Amino acid sequence: MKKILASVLSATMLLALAGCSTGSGSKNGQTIAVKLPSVSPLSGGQSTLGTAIANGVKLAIADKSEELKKLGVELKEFPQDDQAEPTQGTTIANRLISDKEVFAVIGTLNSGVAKTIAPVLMPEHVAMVSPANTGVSLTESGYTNYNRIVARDDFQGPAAARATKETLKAKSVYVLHDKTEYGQGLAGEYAKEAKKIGLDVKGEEGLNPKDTDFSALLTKVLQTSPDAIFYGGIYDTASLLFKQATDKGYKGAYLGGDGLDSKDIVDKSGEAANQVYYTSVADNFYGSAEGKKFFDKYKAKFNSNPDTYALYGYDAALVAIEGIAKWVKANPGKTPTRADIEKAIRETKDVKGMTGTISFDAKGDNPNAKVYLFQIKNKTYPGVSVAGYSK
Amino acid sequence: MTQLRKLYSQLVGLFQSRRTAPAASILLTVLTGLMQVLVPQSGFSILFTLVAIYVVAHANVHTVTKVVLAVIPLLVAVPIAGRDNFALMPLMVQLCIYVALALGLNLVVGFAGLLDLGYIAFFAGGAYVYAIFASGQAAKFLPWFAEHAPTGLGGWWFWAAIPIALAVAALLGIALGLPVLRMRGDYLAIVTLGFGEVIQVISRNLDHPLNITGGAPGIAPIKYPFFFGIPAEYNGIAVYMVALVFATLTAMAMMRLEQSRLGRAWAAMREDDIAARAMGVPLVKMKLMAFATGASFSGAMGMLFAVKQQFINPDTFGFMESIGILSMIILGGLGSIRGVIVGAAAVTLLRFQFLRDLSDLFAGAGLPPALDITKYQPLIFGLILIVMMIYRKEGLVPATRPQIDVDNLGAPVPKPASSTQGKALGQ
Amino acid sequence: MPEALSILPQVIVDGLVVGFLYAVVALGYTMVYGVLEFINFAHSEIFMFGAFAAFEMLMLLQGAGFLATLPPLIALVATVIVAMAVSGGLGWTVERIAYRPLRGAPRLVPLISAIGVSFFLQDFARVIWTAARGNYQLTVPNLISGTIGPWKIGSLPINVMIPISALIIMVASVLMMVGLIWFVNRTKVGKAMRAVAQDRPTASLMGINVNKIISLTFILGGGLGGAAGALFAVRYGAINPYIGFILGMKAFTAAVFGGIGSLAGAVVGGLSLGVLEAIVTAYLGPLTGDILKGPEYKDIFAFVILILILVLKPAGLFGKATSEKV
Repeated sequence: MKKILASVLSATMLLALAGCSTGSGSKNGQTIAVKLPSVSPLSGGQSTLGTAIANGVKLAIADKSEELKKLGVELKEFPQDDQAEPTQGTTIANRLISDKEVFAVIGTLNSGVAKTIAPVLMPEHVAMVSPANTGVSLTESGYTNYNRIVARDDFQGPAAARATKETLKAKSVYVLHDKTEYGQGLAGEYAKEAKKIGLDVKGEEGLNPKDTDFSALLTKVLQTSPDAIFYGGIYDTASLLFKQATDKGYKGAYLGGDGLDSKDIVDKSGEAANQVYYTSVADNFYGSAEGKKFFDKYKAKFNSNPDTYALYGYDAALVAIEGIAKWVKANPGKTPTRADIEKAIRETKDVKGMTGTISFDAKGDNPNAKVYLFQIKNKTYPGVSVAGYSK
Repeated sequence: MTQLRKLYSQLVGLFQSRRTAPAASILLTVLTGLMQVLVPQSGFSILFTLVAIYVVAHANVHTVTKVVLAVIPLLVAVPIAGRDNFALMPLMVQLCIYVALALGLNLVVGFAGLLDLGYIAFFAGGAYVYAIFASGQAAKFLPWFAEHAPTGLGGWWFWAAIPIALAVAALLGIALGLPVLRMRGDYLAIVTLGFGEVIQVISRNLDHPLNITGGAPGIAPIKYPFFFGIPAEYNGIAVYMVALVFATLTAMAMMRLEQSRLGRAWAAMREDDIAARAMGVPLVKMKLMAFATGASFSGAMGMLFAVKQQFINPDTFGFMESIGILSMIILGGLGSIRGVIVGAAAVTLLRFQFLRDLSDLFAGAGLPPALDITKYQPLIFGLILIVMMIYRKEGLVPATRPQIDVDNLGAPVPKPASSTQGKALGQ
Repeated sequence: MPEALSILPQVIVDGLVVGFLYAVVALGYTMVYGVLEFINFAHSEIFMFGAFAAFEMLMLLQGAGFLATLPPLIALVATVIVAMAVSGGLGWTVERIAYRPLRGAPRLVPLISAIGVSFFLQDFARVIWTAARGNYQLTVPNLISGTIGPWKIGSLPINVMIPISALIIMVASVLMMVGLIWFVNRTKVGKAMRAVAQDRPTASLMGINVNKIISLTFILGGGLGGAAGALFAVRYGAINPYIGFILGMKAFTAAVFGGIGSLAGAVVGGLSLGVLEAIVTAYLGPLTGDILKGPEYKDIFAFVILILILVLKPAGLFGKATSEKV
């Protein structure tokens, strides 16, 4: 009994050192305190992508906080680590709606987490701007609070299929994906369109993205000698796959979606890099002066090169911040409700972001989104924009 | 330090003395209940509430008092606090789920001594059984559903599914149990681990040729169960109540099982299977019973999890989750029912409340990226596991064996006096 | 289907490369298990640290300009030695801190501690390399590239080729395995190791310093893991703190497959698992009319076959079936 109590008490004390209650906001005077949380994996295997999103949001907050201070809004960063787990996502979402300073959430990386967060946030009218979810169903489920700045799979996939035929002049293609919602979704839409426009789809298969050796799979794929290999997934696995295929003597083209849009695809693919094409909604971003500025700022602040997801995170935060600013400008002296901000964000029109112009339609999709095809030349990232496709 | 220890022993005495214990227990419950209601956002409120229940459960008071003092904070204070702190109800549901899961795994590992590294597979089984028919998923591969129930069966399905989920999970348990009957120790571990993987890979890939599990995107939205006459906005509380009932029933079942003929047979098998067989314990039957019973608890909890999340996908049922539950029971005290409950509660609070609080505390502080505490959760969890194992091998609440007085066979001797345990206190 | 069969030799070669990696990592598991009867869950992270050490070494060589001037083979050997040293040291440290205090505790206790170590090391690597290099997903400097082959087999429509880096894995693995088996079976220390494995108290009575032997086991096992990590880094060119997990799980499966505790068993288990996976990847789809796709189900087929073997031979392929004395 004593021993038990001792352990209970000491554990409590240990926790007392660690924990603390989440403070609820007080609005003194005219300042409206607003926390802008990012929800993405900050630890675990996907944390490179998740951290890029969180950092992008931080950068947007840093860039915009002066402007908002003048409007009487105090912006605060509030990064949340969802560990890529839907269960953690539920917890985070419930904690966020309990916090009166939270009006909008930037996230998530994984559609699975988004699917658990969006329904929790919706009844409380906390808006969500996703920098990364491309799965079709999310904006088709009637979430009034859910918006995204990226292109849906059923737009990007078919565009890539058309590019395969029209720009790459390929006649046959082998479709691979990483068996995640993103990769499989994109590859599925790609394959559907490819068959429709008369490409010879030699096969369609999922692989385990945690593997590192794809030689046996590639032996089988290359036996069908496809003109192009499409991979739905993220650059880390893609570069391993492409490198090993080139090692096996493959000379055709590699193609993928915005998941390949990263400097790593060049660094890690070796000689295979020059065979890579990818699609993205961001048109030749780092070529512009603005892009270079962003790159330097990011590098200075976080000591690493920005991932594409940093751009998306930045833009998603930008949209949310613009929404808040717009409402506060229109209603001076008033404090917004969550529903006000939710509505203001959904009504976003032509916000100039890093990846392009962003608006939201009635479902929360970005109707302006255009998909560009990039080709990597001379092993340099970013690739050269070789074609553009709109809806 | 001596002062502290004195104060502490006085506190303990307060709850042990027959005279002061009732008053102290009531006071403690009221205080923590008040704190829960007044400071609903704090993780400490729920921690103190749970600690109070634990202390009262061990105080020298009548059983009826104990039950009343446990029920009031759980059924009154927590739901009231949940109106301000939306995270509280889901946290408590998750806690109940983990408590029951840990108890179920403890049956297999702690009682029967069969190391199971794929326990989450049964959990997944239960979750999928409920989810497939409580959402639009069934309509994707069964024409009848597409015609008659395109968004899945009604809320009654939850209640109907309970026996089905129990049966499916138990069958899965036997399916795992059959091939491993002859194996021991680490072979068992690797096969159960493989079994967990198999279930996860199947749930990920069974979207073709027939879309049964929804594949990688998973199943959403999953319907809430039907609660008799309760308006929909109280669904959260209703699920919490169901979770409490499930967890309590599981705990009670465990206590009964441990003392039963079955439980004693498992203990004999765990300690020495050859001797057990010599004494007439049917090993094959007992092993299968252990796997099937343990699995069925997991299946029921899987259903509840699907209800709570309203979304499931294969990633939720990974190996790490199995390991997480195993760490709960080892942390709490393998084989000890009280310990397992404490362990499950502690890990859940740590992972879903205190580590989050810690990161939120520093979230706005603009720390340099390398020091950003928001990202250190696995590291801290790992350290806690190591330190706990080094300093408290038997877990937070070690298992105690009923001791038999040979001269007076059949009558269990009262628990060893607390003074002998108290010696270890200051170490 | 002769056309599909024409890729069989290549598929087997592909599988063997992976299999050798499994085998080397499996040796680490099996050694520790043989001596302590304990699954060193953190072995996969020790492997991972080997890969990171190799990365740092290669960066160092590159920074000093040696990478361009030194013959690749010498750079490779230096890298592997550094990785072995780092991982061996890590293995020793882990044993001292997290396992030794738990000796004599119930069997599950060190297992949980090992799981804790595994969590900790994974995250630790992530934190350290994020701080040091800005990213924990690292690109390893290219050391060896190129492919041997394709060889033609007679007049058959068969081509077999193998990347040089994969060939190096095979050769290095064979060397290490032979070395280890020689060490354990032919040297005095190896004899002591076997004695400790067989009966710890008696070995101690015979004047063997059990603690030293256990430490040595962890250093050796860790060193092997480190070497495997270095070879992995050189072959695949990309590392992150999570590479150990899947590989470790497979390697452990391989160790059990071959009969855990048996060195030869680990090797055979690793190779057969690798080849098995490759064959399932390539042929499951065609055999089932594409209903079950090879790469999607290869992980579970490996396990299903493992279970079948264990049902028929509960002690693994090379394990000795011990009947317990009463």
